[in-house]
Formats: sequence, C-alpha cells, structure tokens
Amino acid sequence: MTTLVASTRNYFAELWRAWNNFWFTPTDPATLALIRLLAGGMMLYTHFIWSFDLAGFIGRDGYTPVEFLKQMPGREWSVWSIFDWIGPNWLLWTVHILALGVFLCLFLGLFSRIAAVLAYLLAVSYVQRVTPGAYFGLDKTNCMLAMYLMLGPCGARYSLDRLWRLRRGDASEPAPSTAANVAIRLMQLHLCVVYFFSALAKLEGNTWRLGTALWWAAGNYEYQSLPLTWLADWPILVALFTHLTVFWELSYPFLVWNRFSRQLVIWTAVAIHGGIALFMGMITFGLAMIFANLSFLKPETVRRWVDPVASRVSLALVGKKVG
Amino acid sequence: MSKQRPEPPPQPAGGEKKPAAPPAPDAKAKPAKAPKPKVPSPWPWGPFARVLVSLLVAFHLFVVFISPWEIQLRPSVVPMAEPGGPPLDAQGRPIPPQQFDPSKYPAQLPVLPMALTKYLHHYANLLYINNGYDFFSPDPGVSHQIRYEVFNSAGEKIADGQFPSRREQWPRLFYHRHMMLVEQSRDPMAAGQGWESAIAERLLEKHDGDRVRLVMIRHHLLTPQQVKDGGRIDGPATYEEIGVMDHQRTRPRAAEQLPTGGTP
Repeated sequence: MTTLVASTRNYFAELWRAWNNFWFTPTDPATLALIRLLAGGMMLYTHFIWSFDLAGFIGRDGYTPVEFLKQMPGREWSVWSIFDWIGPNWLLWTVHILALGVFLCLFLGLFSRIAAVLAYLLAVSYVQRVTPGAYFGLDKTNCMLAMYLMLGPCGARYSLDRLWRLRRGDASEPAPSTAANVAIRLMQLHLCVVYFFSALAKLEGNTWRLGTALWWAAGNYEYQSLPLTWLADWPILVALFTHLTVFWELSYPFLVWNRFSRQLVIWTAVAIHGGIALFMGMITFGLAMIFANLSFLKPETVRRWVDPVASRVSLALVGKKVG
Repeated sequence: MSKQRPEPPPQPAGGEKKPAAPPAPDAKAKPAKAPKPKVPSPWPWGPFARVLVSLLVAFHLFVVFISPWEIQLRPSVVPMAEPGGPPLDAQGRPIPPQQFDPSKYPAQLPVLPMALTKYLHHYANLLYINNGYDFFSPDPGVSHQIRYEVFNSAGEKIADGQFPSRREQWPRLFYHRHMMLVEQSRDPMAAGQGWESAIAERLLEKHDGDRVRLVMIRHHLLTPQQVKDGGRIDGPATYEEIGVMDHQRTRPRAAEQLPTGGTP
C-alpha cells in the first residue's frame, strides 16, 4: 500500500516537473522575435489593404452596416470592435492611420510590447467588424499570432528596441525568458487545435473522404492564381494530395512533438501552405500559416539563420554587430 | 526545427518544500545527516506564479479547444431517430429527416460542447478565438459573383462593375476581400437578412447614384471529364444568373443630412 501511494506520489511529482519544464523553462526569445517580425509585417500589409476601400468595408455604413451586423444571430456584447462606435469618415481614417502606425511599430520592433498589445486589440477590432463580411483564415491567423506575441518579450531581438539599447551602450544578450516560452507554447498548442479541427471538418465532406476535394478547390476560377486544370489528367495525384492534406492535418497535433517526425510535419506544412499561396491566390494566408509553424523552430536554429542578416542591419544602423 | 523541450532539469527548488521541523529536545539523538546542497530552481518563476499561470493557460487552451468543437457541430443537428433505421411512410419508403415530426423525433443536440460553451463563449468572443477552422470544408464549393449597375435620377448608367473582379480589385488580397464579401452574403445563414440591400446602399453611396441593379451569379465548377472534353472553367456556360435585384436609394445623401447653412 505504501509503495502504491509512493509511486502515485512520484508519478504526480514527475508530471508536475514535466509540466513545469514544458511551460516554464526560460528560452531564448529569438523564435518569438522572428515571428513578431514576420507577423508584424503581415499585419501591416493586411490592414493597409483596407485603405483601398476603408469606408466600404470598415465604415459604419459600409457593405455590412454596423446596425445590420448587430441583428445577426450570435452577435452578442462580447463580439466587440472599436469600429462599431466610429462614425465620421475623418475619425475612421485617423484611427486607421494610427493602427497602421501600430502595426509598423510591431513589424520594426519599436516599443514592441506595447505595440504587440495594441496590434492584437486592433486586429481583433478589424476582423470583428468584417465578421461576417469579408474575413477569412488570414485574419484568424493574424489574431492568433498577435495574441501570443504580446505575452512575451517579442522585441528582444531583431528589433529597433534592441538597436536602441545597443546605441545606449547596453550590448548584453537578451536573457532567456519564461514568458517567451509560455507564448511560444501557447502558439504551438493553438496551432495543433487549428489543424486538428480543420481535419475533423474535412472528414465530414464526401469530396475530402473520396479524394476529389483538391480538384474542386483547384478548379475554382475565382481562387485560382496559376493554371491547375492540367490536374484533370492526374486523378491519382489529386487523390494523393487530398488524402495527404487530411491525414497530415489530423496527425499534426501528435507528430509535431516527436523530434523524428517534426521535420516531416513542418516541411509538409511549408509545402501545403506554399501551394495554397502559389496556386490558390492566398499568398497572405499561406505565408501567415507558415509563420505560425515557425513556432516549432528551436531558438538556436532561428539564430543561425537570422543573426547574420540582423548583424549586418545593426552594423549599418548603429555600427555594431548584434542579433 | 526541432525540439523545444529542454534537458531534464535538476530537482525542483528547495523553496518549494516545507523546511523540516526542529527536533524535539528530548528526542533520541540521531546521527546527523549531511545537509542537502541547495539546488537552484530551473524555473525562475516561483511556485505560486507557476500554479496561477498553469491554471490560466489550461483554461485558455480548454476554450481554444471547445470553440471549434461547438461551432463545427452547431449545424449538425439531426432528429432523434434510430441510426440506420429511419421511420417509413405508408408506402414503406424511408421518410427524409427534414420531414420528421419534431414532437416524435426531437433534435439530437451536441449536448456537451453546447453546455461547455454556454458561458465560456463570451471569453472566446472577447479574444477572437471563436473560430471553427473549417477551411474548404465540409466540401469545397461553387463561387458566386455580384454584377452591378448604378443609375442616376435620370436613369443614366453612371457606374458598373463586378465583385469579385481581378481587373477591378487589386492587389490580390483586396480582390479576396470582395470575394469573401460575396461568398459570405450567399451563406444560407445570411439568407433573407437583407445583405444584398446593404451592399446596394453602399454602392449607391459610393457612386452617388439613385438606383442600382444587382445581378447575383453562381459560377459552377467543371468535372475533370468536362475539362478534358474542352470545357473552360471560366467559360460562359459555367455562369448562372440566380437573381436580380433593383434597389432604390433609401439613405439620404450626405449633403441632404446637413442642416441649412451648414458647412461652407
């Protein structure tokens, strides 16, 4: 009996230790900083595009008027957007330009932490204003990344904040951060949920189960950005890619944690999202999902790839090399 | 691209355990144990902070998980009938589920996800994690277009165009927003809510028109065999007109809203 109690206690002690290792081991903020740089750039571009018809999409009386959306089922108090309260066009443009400034700060890593919090709130405001209306997967990914970027020191590397510290004589390396690890872990787990449920939704569809879904997606003229009708002669290829997509999404949450299968899973993500970007005209969405997958990169790998470029930029800007 | 998992850490911080009570004065003298060396915790955050953050991340991830679960199951409501044994009509033919008597066959509901999201969905809404992640599913579908013509008070055409249109909307993301606008307005959930009228009003405002005609179009997909037989995915035969709407301006013009003697 004593052995049973002791082994149970040991099991839970081990579990708690593993949990702590997973969540609370400080990590180099390089991965988080790289995602900030890329996601910040993507958010800047995404929201800049609204400028082409700001009043139409975001304005109070646009294609989906605020009053119209309020009548939609499920539009409760918790579905919020600052644009629900913005009426005059001049105010709309003022807020929009300020928002673009925030996204630019996030991209450049200027006042990074504050910019990350504001960028998240603004990104949610924009997307809730166009939900339903004109939102799609890109907005979901942008908001997911912004939400977790604000939890950690996303400007510790590859940022103007870092260069500013260097200019003031602080050349110390960014310390490993527990908050950076928590942010990255949340990003990774959220991404697993995204792929898992994306696969479950596909399993409800006959075309995904039969292996023809890729044809119907690729043969859609409105989506297509490069010719894909040649796939009509390759039903085996269509079936292979369709099934591969479903099985990859379904297995992602399980295989991505294993160091032997992780490379395969992540490179498949790059191939599938790269294909969506190239052939299906959703360059932004494809790239945003690839950026999210970078959360599985080890900080050392990130530094090996990005530090040489960052050093050259810092040498040019402040005369010192820094990552 | 590899492991984030750190090396196995040393034993947890000594600070997490209660200090041993001092021995009673009359207790038998035991051989003195060598004091354990104090190993610093591998986790800089204290136990209280770690427990608190653990609870928060567990709650958050729980909501991240149940939101798509509930959203995906929401439209899957089916009558409570014996699986594989649908009721038969007088002629012995199976009755389609849509024609079931709801008093005899109440709906089967996704009870657990609904119960979990009943209150937690506000948290999901606030953070915008209320997503279904159902990309191109359950099946990739046909596309739609809206063609429009705007007329002035004299009945002259002053503008025309199409949503989405690669010629009219650039860059690609801007085109894609118009595409989503049309697709989401065609969603069965949005049917009958006057979305076309809202789009029409905006077009009138944009082009300062008095009347607008919207033509709703479905763009059908071709099978591989139809393509092999020479069909083009953008061929005229693939477009089907599914509705026409004429809409008169209802909102006053901006200038008409101003009080007399308003802006210079």
